[in-house]
Amino acid sequence: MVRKRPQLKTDELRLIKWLLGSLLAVIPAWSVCQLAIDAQLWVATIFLTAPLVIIWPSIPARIPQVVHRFTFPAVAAYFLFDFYTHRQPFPTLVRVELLLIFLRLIAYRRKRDDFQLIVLGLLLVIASGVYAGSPLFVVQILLFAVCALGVLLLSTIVDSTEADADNESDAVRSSPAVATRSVPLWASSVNWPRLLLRTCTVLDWRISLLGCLLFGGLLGASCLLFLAIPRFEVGSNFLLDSIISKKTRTGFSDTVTFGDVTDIQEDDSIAMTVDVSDPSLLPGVPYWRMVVLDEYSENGFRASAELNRQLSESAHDQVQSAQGWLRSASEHDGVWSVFFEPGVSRHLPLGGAFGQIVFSRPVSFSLNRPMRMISLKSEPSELIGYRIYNHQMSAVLGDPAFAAREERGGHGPGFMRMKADEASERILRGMVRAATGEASLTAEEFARRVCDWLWAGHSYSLQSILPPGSGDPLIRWLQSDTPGHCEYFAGSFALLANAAGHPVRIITGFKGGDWNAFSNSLIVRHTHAHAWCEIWNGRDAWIRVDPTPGTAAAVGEPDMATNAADIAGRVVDDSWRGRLDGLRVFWFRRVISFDEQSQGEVATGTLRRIDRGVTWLGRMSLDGVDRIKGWLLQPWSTRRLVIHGLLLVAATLALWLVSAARRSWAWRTLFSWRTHRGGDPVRKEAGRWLQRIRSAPPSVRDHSQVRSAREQLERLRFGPRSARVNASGAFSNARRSMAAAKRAARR
Amino acid sequence: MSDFLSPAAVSEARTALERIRTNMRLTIKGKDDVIQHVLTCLVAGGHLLIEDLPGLGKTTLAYSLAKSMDGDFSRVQFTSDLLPGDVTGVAIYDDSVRGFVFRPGPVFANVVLADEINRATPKTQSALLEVMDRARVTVDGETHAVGSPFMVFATQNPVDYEGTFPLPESQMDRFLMRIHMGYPQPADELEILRAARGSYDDIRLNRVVSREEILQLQTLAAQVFVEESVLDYLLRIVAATRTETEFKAGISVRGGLGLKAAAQSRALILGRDFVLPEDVVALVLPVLGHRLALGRQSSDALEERRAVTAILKRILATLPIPT
Repeated sequence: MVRKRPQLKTDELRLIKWLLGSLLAVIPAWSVCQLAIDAQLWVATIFLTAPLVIIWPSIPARIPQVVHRFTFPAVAAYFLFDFYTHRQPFPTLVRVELLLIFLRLIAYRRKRDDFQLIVLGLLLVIASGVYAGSPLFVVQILLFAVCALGVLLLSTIVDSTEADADNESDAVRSSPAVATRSVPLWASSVNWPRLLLRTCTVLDWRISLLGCLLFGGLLGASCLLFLAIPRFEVGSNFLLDSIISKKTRTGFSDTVTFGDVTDIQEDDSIAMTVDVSDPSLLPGVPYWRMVVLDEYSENGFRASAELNRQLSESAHDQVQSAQGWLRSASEHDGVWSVFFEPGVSRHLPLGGAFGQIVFSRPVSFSLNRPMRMISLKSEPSELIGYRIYNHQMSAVLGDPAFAAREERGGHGPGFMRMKADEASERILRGMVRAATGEASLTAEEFARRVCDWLWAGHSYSLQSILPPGSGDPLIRWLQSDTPGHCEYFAGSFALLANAAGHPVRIITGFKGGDWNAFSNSLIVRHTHAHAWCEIWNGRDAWIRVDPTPGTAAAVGEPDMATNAADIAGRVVDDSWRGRLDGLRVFWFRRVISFDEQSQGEVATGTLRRIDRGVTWLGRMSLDGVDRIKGWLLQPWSTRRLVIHGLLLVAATLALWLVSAARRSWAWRTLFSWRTHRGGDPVRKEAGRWLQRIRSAPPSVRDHSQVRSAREQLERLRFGPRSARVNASGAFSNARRSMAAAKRAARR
Repeated sequence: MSDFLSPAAVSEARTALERIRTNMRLTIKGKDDVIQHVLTCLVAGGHLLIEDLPGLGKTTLAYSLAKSMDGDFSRVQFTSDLLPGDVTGVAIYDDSVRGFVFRPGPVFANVVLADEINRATPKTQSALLEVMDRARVTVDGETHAVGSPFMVFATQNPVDYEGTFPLPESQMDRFLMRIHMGYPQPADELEILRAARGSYDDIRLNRVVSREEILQLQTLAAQVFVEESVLDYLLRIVAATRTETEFKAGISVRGGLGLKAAAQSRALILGRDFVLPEDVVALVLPVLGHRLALGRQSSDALEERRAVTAILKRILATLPIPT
């Protein structure tokens, strides 16, 4: 039987469309939250208004007409004012778009308004997705696609119904100003729970399956498009350069005042994610150098002008790769893929020397070879990915140029020079004496003793404050027993080393990281921000010194046992947050970093799999033929004949039993839905035609030819099969009659 | 016998029924739907319960039908002192034959009008209902067949319930349909007023079909084809009344069979050899309405009927019609 399912009324469809349309307004507002654009006012307004208009769809009718009448001039004025005030085209556009979305949210939408809402929303969602680079984009765009498809489908259904045409004249066909004058019927009495129940009743597995298939098709097509479309770069667009996604609390810059690093540590968000092709290359506690600071003032540390000049001298403009300090590397030396979050710093984290660095897109950067620093021209506005080949994470950084300069007795940038007054110098020298006992020590030994001395006098605390008083703040801290954090320890060590005549510099960056068990990658958060020192060993290299208490190997490389202990003690994040981080890494690896090379890899992999599949099928077919041949060629003994004969009889019997069961009452009861839905194709087709005639307008339905055709169709649909008329003739007749009736109705 | 009716047979049946309809229209003005229901009931071989106020043409209706098919008509005014024998007939001692001779009662006719059936005692009502069910009367162990075709028109006053014995559901079930006459339209009533006529005995109508033809029509109606989906639809309607909590009890199997028979009959009257879902829908209220009672106490019978009708309409609106 062809059942007629219960259907939702036009008003109910309108309500669902209203709900989906309101959600269409909310999703773009949600996506804008990820951008660092001052649009909180409109986002909050949309967030607050959407639930209200969903619960009470009569609200738009209560808005005074004057609001709609002056909409266009108001929006235009707002745009001009906003642009004049901020002078930023993109944020202004975003805000105006949000305003337009809001205006559509609070008005009864015609089909045209629905289209506009979809286009406006889509623009915002995509722009936010591209710029934030967040995996949330997937959720947002999928939700948006579902809602948009729903709105378009419902809009089409509603418009195509007769009832809709009647209602249109009441509330929707007119202009928005007129449309909001009175509450339309569908919005006057809303009962969402009842509508939900009704929708559940109407939905059956066929509709659900169709919806899933449509959605799956959309998803599949999107994935194929994503895999196949050529890669292009939009990051250099001048309009969008000034937009960046959510900033961290602070960023690593050329100047670090006391407290900056601890400020960064308060931010728990991810700063970078590191994929290592061979995880054994990762040390127990990796140090990621970002900024070298070689000048000290009472407020903190900074990179000297000379150092900055060096950086600007070695600038590369829109280059995708650069050679490092080591030999040109291959993948056998390990590949480190770093996904560096936007808003952290323009200085890229590096573990030490490397062979080659390859960016995911052309970037403008400076390479300071003596300082082992890479700095982008400006702070990246979007996530930046780079691969480092032959990356040597080391505590010892060779610097032949500095060694040569030292030999010549010259002075250059790259180590700290403190211009302290005499009193301060005296105090510092006294402290050095206390720490080292006036012995002539190597730089490494000096560092160890000073670290021990510092740890004996001060403990570690993030909530530490400098002791009050006058004079150099770090000397005041050294003279006290106040706990300190990494900046105080590193700064104090640098002052002491400087007083003792050892070239020293301060490094800021990240130390350590959490191992994500789901993505097998190192997640470095802002909480891992750290400051440490590098001291010149007097010969050829800078040695890392981490004077902050709690460091297993304060000076130089840790020994193997310490490293193994650090690896064993590394935090493995298998929490829910870790799962989400894993998803994020997947997003970076497979989507954000999906470049032409990845396209090639996917294509090659697919071809390889197809090739393997074809080969496997061919082999299986040949094996099958061989088996059948072997089975046939085996000697047919009496016993074998009897066994196979019995099997044949059993199979025949089973088939017969199934056939008999199909005719039984139990079978029909169990599988009645199949007989109903499969049914007689002539009856089904006749039913469809009858349905078309019934849903036709009265002028068509009551046409004499249509009535005659209807009688024939009724006979086909409900009459005895044995007295059936020519079915195809009846259907042709129905088609002709309908066409004739429609023509007559138009006349 | 073939599994379907020949177009000629269907056409003949339609013509015959059209003749009856036209004939009855001469006396029953402006009540085509009532005539339609009467014919449906007749062809389906059922009995009709007419609930309406006195003086709306119930007797004329029954009489016209009887005359149109050349059938015997009898009328019984049911009162509280009416005995079963007064309806079915009695065996009285006949001296000439020196034995008891059966004296047939008024039920021995083709069309019997049981006027105000609810005024008789349950015992008398039962006697009539037995005849309706079996089309025969058993007196003193001897069975006597009543007229063939046999159709009872029972009437009830829906307003005046003083001193009545309402028919229980089980007995209501014996009636195939319950209809209401209703007041005629002013134009029709004017025509009625213009016609100079006394009692129903004065009605002069020609016979337009024979009783044999009616029996043939009944046989034909039983052969009208009912497609699986329509049967399933009918069954779902019946099942829905059984699961409806507002009803005291659902429709019986007899009720379902009655609905099917009535639908077949309607299809034949309209010149079809197959039943449409529309036939079922059109007959749900007249065939099922009187078989259902509310589980809760209602203020009066009219209110209850209105509630039952509303629930049945709701059920019809809920169930998908086969397309």
